Amino acid sequence: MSLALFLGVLLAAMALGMPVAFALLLAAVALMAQLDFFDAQLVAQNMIAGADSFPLMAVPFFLLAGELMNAGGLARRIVALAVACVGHIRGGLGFVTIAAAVVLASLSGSALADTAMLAALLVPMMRTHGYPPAPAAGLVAAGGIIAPVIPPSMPLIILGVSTHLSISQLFLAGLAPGLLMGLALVLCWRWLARDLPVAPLPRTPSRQRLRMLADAAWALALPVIILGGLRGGVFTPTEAAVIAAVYALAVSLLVYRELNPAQLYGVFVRAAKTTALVMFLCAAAQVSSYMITLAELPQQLGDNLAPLLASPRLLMTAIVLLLLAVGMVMDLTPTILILAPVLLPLAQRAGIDPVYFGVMFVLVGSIGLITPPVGTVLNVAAGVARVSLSDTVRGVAPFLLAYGVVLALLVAFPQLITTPARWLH
Amino acid sequence: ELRPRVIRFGYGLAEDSNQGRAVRFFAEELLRLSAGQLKVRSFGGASLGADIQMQNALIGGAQEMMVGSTATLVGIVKVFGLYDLPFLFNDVHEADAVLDGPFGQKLLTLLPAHGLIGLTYWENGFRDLTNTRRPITRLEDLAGVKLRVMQNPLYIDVFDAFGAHAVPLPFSELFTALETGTVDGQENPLTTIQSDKFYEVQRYLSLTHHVYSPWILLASGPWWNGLSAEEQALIRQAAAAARDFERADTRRQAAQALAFLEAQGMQVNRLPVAEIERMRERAQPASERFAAEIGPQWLSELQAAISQARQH
Amino acid sequence: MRTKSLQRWCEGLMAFALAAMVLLVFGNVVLRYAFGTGLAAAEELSRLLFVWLVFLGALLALRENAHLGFDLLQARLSPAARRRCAVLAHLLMLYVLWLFAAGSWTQLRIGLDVRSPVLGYPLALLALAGLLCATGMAWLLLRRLWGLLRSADTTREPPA
Ligand code: NA
Ligand code: NA
Repeated sequence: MSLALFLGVLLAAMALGMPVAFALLLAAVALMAQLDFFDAQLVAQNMIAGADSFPLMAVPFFLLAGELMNAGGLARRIVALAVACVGHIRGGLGFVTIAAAVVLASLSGSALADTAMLAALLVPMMRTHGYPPAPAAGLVAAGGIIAPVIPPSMPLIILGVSTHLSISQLFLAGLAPGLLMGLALVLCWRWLARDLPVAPLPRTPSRQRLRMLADAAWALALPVIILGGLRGGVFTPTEAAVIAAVYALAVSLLVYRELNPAQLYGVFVRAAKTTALVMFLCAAAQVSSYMITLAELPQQLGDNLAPLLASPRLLMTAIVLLLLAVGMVMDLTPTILILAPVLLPLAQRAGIDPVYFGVMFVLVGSIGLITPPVGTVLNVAAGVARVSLSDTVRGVAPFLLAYGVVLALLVAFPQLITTPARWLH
Repeated sequence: ELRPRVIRFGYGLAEDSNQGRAVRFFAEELLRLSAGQLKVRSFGGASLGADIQMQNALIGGAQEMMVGSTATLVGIVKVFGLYDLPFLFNDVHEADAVLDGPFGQKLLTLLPAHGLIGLTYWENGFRDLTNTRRPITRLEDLAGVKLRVMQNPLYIDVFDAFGAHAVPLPFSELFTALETGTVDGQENPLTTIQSDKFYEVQRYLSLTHHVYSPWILLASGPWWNGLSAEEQALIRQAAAAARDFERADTRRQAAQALAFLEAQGMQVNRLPVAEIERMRERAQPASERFAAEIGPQWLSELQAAISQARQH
Repeated sequence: MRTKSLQRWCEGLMAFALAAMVLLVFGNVVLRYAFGTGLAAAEELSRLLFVWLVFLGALLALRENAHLGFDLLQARLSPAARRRCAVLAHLLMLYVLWLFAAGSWTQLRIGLDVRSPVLGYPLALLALAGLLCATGMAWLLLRRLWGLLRSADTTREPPA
């Protein structure tokens, strides 16, 4: 009953055109009225407590690091290095895109930021070399969603905070499936590139390659610092985020010298604005999750799903399908905030490893970012690359199939995530 | 007269902790005493928010009851900070006598002016020290140990005075920090060292008993004032019974935790009384500065209460 | 013109808050490794700045229509139906904001009496950020609602 009320109000409010944060608040207020615990303070108090969080401070810091890498020339150098290394293979710029996507994913925590960088840098290049726009934009979108799976990752941070899972463990567990996504894209692209009417780029001489490697080394050192620091316990995830931001700032200002003070101010403003958007949603979700706790919604849902609890794989299949359906129309952050705290207790009851569940949740949710009708990464890829949305959807379709195979593998063999996570930990 | 009521009761620890068990006991006791009229719905694991959030909800009447640390009250009524002073009580009997006696009850009377009703004190426990460097057998052993302390300036000063490097960290980041060596050690009651699995990442346990941490059972002032005298009396009665249950349970649990931690391979040591005395002296300047801010007359009242408890 | 400069001030404050958060949190890491100590106030102060950043930024985002939402269904409706939906959505959002503001006001009064553990600032400073955000948002929405209702009299399109 409470579950139906909550979801009904939430969906109706969103259909009415209310922003997700307000729809969440309204659904929470409806629950509050139904539970007979009506009090405006609970709305205000939970909003404020939702924003007042040290672990979530990693969000602005990683966003800042991403903005700095883009404005400070770190991203551009990584793409240039990728062109020098794999540009001469058949369909080379596609492999460049995948390589750059994986490396950028290990630097940035946001799919949107990565997609925008890739689309701005690579799609024009692919066009001038005769690649058709649809697969180019599709590949950029598919590559962009590796960012939230490979650490650092904003969605994994938000999931960790909202479900009380260790962010460090989630980060370390995200590496293997992220690389698997990259591998799936490579195989898929190799098959697609068979009959592309484009000539490969000339081979870059190795001396020049080495020079470019040395130039990009400053940027490439960052994932080593982040992962090594988390693995070795030098710092917590929030501190890793601030170190990434300070490092990117130092490299942009002192080494590459591509950032002037006016640009720097713009970078801070942009990062702060995006932070406010994400965090206002987190704050609203704190209100709804308070009410969800009071209404004991997870228990209700668990009673309905009881027959699935007998088999972890069956339950995981159901969760993946549910998240794919939700991902068609909903963005990743609200999906995490609304569903992860409700589904995790169920997964644990069925004996699913919580860290595996968390990484899978973010992986499936990220795929939702490139499924129509609502896919924010699709919109960014199409918008920045100046390719029509329908062409982008057509272009992303084969990669969606490839990711479907990855999902099936990960559901059938959870060890693909849990075993490498144990090695790293 | 009695009316059917639902009491939202929040607490921070897990449902299967000593805190959770005592809250359940309180709920059952109150239900029995009120013949089913006063129903407690309890929410563990900080699902109604952190202590400070619940406390503000109580003041505003948005939540009815909670149990939490007295340290959270310091932001409203400074005197509660006196309970944070190091080496205040030598044993639990002194703590019981002072908290349940005139001094502890006088502090509770300061709360209604701020929208809170303090019902009883429960026991979190004496805090002990763990670390990975060496057993702490004397003051000098603390030199250079990187120690996580609570985010309270008093503890930073005290442990720095001991020669340790006091690092304030949120509790939520503590396990990772210990596991990865960001800090060498921490200090908490034995029950916490067991429940939060610090024994997996810490080698030495030194029974310093350097601080006694009480919990306090609180009710919302605006809500309380709307209750009948009979309802208030029943709640007080259940609170007193739950206090006795909680203290006995916590002490049993602490003894079991010690045996458990030893069985897990922690190297446990006690400190000679003379060493404790040296630590107390070394902590004195920081304690005095801290107590002076709160008010010298309160400190002397507390000391009088303690020495009276010692005579018995 | 005046709202434009107000926006610049907001942006400046947000950028400043973010920069200060970076300094405080990074400074604490440096202190820990270089001197084996830390500033207890760093976490508390950076969290206060964070809360202000979030609520100022959320207000600014509403002004710029940047909050995440869906217009899939709305895009298929007739202009008149869309306007009716928009009026209803505005009223519901105003109701939620009324609760947010009223609750923040109560929490602000409570927070005048409650101080933070390390720095001892009144916790009302946190509730104040919420109160400003809620009232500012309500003011924006009221103006838009007024525009919607006025445009209902004519055949003009509703403002975006
Ligand atoms: Na990433
Ligand atoms: Na989608």
